[in-house]
Amino acid sequence: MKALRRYYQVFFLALFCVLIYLSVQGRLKGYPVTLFLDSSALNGIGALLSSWNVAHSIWIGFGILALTALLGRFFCGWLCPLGTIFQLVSWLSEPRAVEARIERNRHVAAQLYKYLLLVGLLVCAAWGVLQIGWFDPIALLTRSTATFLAPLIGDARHIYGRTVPVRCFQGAPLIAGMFIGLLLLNAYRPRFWCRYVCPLGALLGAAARWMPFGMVRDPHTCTHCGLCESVCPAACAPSTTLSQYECFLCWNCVARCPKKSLSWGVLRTRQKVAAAPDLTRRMFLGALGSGLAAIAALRLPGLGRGRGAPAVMRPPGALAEADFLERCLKCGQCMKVCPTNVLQPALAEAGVEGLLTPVLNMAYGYCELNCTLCSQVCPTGAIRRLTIAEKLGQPDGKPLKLGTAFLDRGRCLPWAMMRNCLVCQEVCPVSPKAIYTLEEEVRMADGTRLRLRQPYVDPAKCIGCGLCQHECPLHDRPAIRVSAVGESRAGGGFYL
Amino acid sequence: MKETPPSAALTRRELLLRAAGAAALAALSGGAGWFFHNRRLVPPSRTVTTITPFLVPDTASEMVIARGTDGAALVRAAVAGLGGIARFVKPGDRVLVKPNCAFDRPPHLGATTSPEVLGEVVRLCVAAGALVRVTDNPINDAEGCFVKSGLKDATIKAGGELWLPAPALFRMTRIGTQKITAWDALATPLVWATKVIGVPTVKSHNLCGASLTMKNWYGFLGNARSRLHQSIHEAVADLAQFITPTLVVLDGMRMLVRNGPTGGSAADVMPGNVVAAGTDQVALDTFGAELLGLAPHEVAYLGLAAQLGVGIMDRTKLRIMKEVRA
Repeated sequence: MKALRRYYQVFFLALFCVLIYLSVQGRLKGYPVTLFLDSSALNGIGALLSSWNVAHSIWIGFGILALTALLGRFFCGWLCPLGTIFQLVSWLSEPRAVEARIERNRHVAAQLYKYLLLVGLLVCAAWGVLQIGWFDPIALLTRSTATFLAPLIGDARHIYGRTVPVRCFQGAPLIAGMFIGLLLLNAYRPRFWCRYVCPLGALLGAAARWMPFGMVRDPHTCTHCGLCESVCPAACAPSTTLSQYECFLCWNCVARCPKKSLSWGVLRTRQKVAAAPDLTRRMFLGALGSGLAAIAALRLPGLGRGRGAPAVMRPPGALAEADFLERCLKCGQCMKVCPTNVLQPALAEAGVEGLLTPVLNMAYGYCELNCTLCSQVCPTGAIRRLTIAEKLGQPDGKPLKLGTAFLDRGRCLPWAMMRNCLVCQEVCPVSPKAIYTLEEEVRMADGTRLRLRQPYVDPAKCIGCGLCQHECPLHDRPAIRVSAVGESRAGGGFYL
Repeated sequence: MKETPPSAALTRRELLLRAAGAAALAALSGGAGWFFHNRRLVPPSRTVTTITPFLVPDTASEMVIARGTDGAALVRAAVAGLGGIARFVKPGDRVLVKPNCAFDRPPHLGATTSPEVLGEVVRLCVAAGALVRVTDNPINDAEGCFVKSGLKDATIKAGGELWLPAPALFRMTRIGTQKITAWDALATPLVWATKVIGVPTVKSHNLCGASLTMKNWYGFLGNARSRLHQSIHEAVADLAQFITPTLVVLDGMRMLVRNGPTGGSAADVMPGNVVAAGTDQVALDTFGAELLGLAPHEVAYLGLAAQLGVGIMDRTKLRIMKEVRA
């Protein structure tokens, strides 16, 4: 079984990599690239609590949760790609001495912290503040892969070329720092994240409360040699209480026990087992209160929720800001598939609550007219599924508007410097163009007269794609810039 | 190893070894500082690549206009009118084909070269025994442009290869004499190639009136190329000096007559049902401008390029000028 478990782990990690590899324009052909995000019960429950909706395929997580109630945390031991990576790093950094390993794998009270984190995050979600994606292992791994591992490894040519990868992400160091930090913590305690932090593990552990099967220790043959603990990645105390809510079902202890005292089977009440985490009422209420305090703190700025307008443009199909924030997991899948790299993780733009949510940054790209890839991969429907026809304005003829372009006449070359340019009009992708020109006679510095065409924006035609801003030759501060004013998702119709 | 008591003084051997090590380190650090001092206060200037002309001797000043409804047949007829592809492409040649693939538009919107025209050009070159690669550096995402315009399919089906632009392919390259003397360009493919064939399409252009053969070389440029719109006509004339093509096949099957160069609506497109092949960029572009209803003097870069000796505007004065039907 231990060997079988390893095959499963390798298979699912490989599957995760393949699905990430497929999450690119040209390869994305209806493959279920969000399979792992959908399999996280935490994503499902979190989004359900905050938006009262189980979107698309996220029900798979509920199926996993149901199976967990019967079997325990098999997801952690057999499926989770982040767990597999952490297990690999733990194994590489393991000390040789058995005693040292036993010491590192001792069951400690700090393992309860993840349950407290879970309670806090769920309380936040229930009030519509969805911060689960920061800690959901699949969202964390997807985000890290999309913004940091894929550009680094998938486009490694840039390293010896001393350039940058084709796709770059603002805030990637922040995401990379978190990921690398978590990797390093495995050298301190094997699968540190899974033991102490992971709220998905906590949710699955809580679901295993009444499970009828589990690891069983025969107290008559057990000699308390402790060898089982030397190989236990979950620190679930197989030599004593065998905490079922912590057990990954990895079968290491069964394989290691020289007396064959450990086996998997029906749990007996006579047996001394710890079925549920030993949370005291005070701890539980403390976590609840902390969650409420976090909601208050995160919502205090009011951004995107009626007070204070965040200066952000969202991907096509994004729901109205408050609904969007209630659904976005910050998983980065939309940023991974975006062909132009315009989708970037928000830093300060969207407020603290919106940190790492996708925003359009025209310094990196623009929204491609005939493209709705981001909407196809959003697991929670924060970006609703959109067809190209719908985006272009069928059936009512009104195209989806991300915002409106505004000309900065103080910088625009034909306005401010009396030079020809009109690159914005050239690249404007709508037909008829949203940028029109009027020919004017202007006076030059030496008094001579010159006829030249100056651009204007027609707000009724502009869709806010940002291509004009991206292509404007005034590269550091473009003379034409789009903002979310007039965006379809805010309603308002004709009015800007 | 025997442990040395902490109080013991260094032996002579140890002292000499340590002194030698310290001296070596001091020499290394001092030497490195001295050696590199002010060596590259000004980084050495980037070398500029020069692209050689690709015109085959004795083929200059030729043009054939083919009219009909089947794009592929028109390409064959026009090239046959010039004496066949064998005059331009020899077995073993490395041919770089440059369509207009600037935007991610489906073919019927006329913003990109017709797939059947590009496909036939590639097929002719492959049949002549050449290795054919197709490239362009579009405004939109390159891969998306080639897929949605149908030009990727057309290239591969005809036996050519797609060469997508990557940062490593660009180098500072000599361009022209007017405004852009040197610019970041797709130098690697141009140095690789022994022959270059332009396959532009007939389009209106918001700023310079028409986007045809010479404007199409813009797709070889990189970096902040939108800056050159500040003097677009001089820049296009520079581009005409930059590439002296082996052959140009001007695609007038679906002409983008307004809202160019992007288009976006079927109403912006008019059937042109014409393909012109030739070696004189100015004559071809004058013809293209006429197709769009523009007088040659309305497109300033035509006269400028003619002045610079790139070609002649009056096609009746060409060495060979024919019209055929197919």
